[in-house]
Amino acid sequence: MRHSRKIKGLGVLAAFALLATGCSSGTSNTDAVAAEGLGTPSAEVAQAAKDFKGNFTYWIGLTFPESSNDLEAARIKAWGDNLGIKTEVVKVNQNEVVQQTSGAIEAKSLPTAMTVPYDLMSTMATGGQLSPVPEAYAAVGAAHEGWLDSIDAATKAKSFGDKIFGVPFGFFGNVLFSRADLLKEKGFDTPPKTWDELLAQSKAAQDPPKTYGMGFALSNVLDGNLTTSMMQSFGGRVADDAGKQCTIDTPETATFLTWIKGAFDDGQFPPSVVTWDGAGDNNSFTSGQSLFIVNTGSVYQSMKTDDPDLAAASAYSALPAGPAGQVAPVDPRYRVVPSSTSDAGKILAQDLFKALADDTYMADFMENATYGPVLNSQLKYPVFTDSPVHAGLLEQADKGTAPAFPDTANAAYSDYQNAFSTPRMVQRVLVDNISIDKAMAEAQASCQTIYNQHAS
Amino acid sequence: MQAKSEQAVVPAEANAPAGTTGTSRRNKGKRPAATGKEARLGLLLVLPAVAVIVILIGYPTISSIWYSFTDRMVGSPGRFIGLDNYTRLATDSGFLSAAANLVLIVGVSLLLKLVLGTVVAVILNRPMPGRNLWRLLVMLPWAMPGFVAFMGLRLMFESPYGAVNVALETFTSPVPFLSDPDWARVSVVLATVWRGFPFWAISILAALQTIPKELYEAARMDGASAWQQFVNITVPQIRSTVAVVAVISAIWTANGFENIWLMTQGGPSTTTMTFPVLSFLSLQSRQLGQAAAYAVVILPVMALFIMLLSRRKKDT
Repeated sequence: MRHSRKIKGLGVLAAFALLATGCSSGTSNTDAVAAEGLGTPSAEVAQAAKDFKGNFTYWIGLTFPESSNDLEAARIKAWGDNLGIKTEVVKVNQNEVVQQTSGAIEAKSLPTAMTVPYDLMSTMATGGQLSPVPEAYAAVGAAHEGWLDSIDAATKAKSFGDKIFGVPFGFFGNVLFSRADLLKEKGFDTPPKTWDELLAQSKAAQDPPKTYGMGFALSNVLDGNLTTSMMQSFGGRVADDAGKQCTIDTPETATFLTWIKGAFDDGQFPPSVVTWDGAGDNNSFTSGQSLFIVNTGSVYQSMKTDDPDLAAASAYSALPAGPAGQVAPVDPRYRVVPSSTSDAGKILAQDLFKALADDTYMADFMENATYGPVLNSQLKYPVFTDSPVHAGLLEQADKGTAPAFPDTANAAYSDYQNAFSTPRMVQRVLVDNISIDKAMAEAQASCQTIYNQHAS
Repeated sequence: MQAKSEQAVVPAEANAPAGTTGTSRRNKGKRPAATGKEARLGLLLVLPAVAVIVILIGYPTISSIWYSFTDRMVGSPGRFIGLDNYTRLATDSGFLSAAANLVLIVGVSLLLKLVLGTVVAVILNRPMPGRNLWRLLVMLPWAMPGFVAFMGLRLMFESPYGAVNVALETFTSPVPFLSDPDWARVSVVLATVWRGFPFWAISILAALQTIPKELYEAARMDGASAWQQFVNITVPQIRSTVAVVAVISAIWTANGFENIWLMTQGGPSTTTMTFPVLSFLSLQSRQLGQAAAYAVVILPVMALFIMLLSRRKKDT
């Protein structure tokens, strides 16, 4: 009895020792990468650090896996320690960044600096809530062999009025995930290049209710906005080139709605797509319910560890094209400085952006987080050749379309997307069975309301 | 405290001039008027409470009403646009669904909660082994965080591999609990009832425990059946409690957000749409004016519930 207690006690001690060793080795590795390349600050930055009052608060957009977020937080802390300022990192769910930022704008409590998606940068810049950061943008570009052309064009879009409001660090791009193993059994050796090819493969390979072909969310969630890209690839547009007048009610949109209604009524979508939450499509692929989904890459990261067989049995390719061409928007993520930040904070924030662009740090960050490259130096990171999803993102960096393309990227377009306007129009046709003409007229009216508010 | 202040004013009244006694008689039963000093002190004492009410309730409510008449967006003051936000509602399919669901989801949920809550309360009021444990278990759905409850229910209702469908698979093909318009309404109502009935059960149980046992004994001696005892003794005794609970529950259900958003996001299409979800969707596109209109338009209904509640409280 006594021996048994002793053995149990030793076992517990050993477990604690193992845990402590594991934790400390992981932490020291993260710390080493986090502190990489942080040298002596310039006189201007050192002075700003002295002048800066309070905590330097930074909002990071949560990504998958958590180790990437921890690494980013550690890097920011290491940068702050190097300057002798206190930093506070707030992790914001990327699905809630619009609400959280809206609340902070109204409460006048925006952080010192933050990461935002392109559309939010657009709306904040239009609203005068961001401070331009041309020096940091130029310095980061110069230090890392220049910006990729597509990213440079998006950052200098006309709607920003010749100002640069953010420093990109990566982009989200949609990748088509397909069950190559099941499709091969039906004689399809390559992923579909067009939506019609995808529909044909889906019809041939699905086996409902066990498996369905098209696992694309058609609900009121951000993933549902894939339908906007689909509509655009069919020739539909949200608004005119000036970005003022909505142009949803067109024959091209009607063609898209007819196509998607045909596929839905034919049972190509899992029935629950109309109420899926943000993880619905991911779960349907990993559970084997769907043959195709569109994802930014997080699903691959989770499959790599949780289901490597499924990861190996899947193919990863660019979004299919519609009759009017391929629409595969590159969605850059930016580091920005709110205009409410103090002058010293603005100097420090731009210094932080340079520190966060360090190649050793970013190569480690991108090893897990699924972002596409934005700088030429990033093209050489091993992950862009080792991982099939990252390779797809590399290809998209070259061939992908600009944010909102063929529409004009502006604040009104962002708000149209944030209101899930296209998936709601699609649901009216598929679920409520109203006529396509009526659904388009409704969507046109609600779209114009949003665009008018930005015009006034 | 009150008795003391009343005593304090008695001498003043007793020494009042003859001409004022008529007024005193007319004011019989009313609280005597406070002197200037006491009135000022009284005002001073209630001032913090009034300030809290004005800051936390008055300002947001009035701001929301004002915003609903403007095209205000996040970060911009907006301009007055009269009733534009409201006239737009009339043609909004989401608004019409939300209005219908206000009656349907709230009405059906209340009815089911009443039945389930009463049955559970009556059972828990009887002597049984481990009664306190059962009472505790019944409270669990209400006590757990809404997010956990509704996410769990969502997973259970998923088709085809949710727990409910797996349990039913020997009897039927997968039921589209969340994606079929009719089933989605049923699922949302069931989830709302499951989460809300413990409040009813515990409130009714508390009312049941105040009914004197002698009433039942007398009824039994007179040969009343169990049903007659329930209808003629129990129901009249708990009626006031049920009315108050119904009004409170109606307000909570009508303002419920997480039950809808976590289960269906108001969908499919607008089938389970409610005013709070519509308001949230407008906030997603940063349209504060429109979001405020969706919130304000439900205020008269809420005011009606609150009036009913106040009247009921006064009666009891």
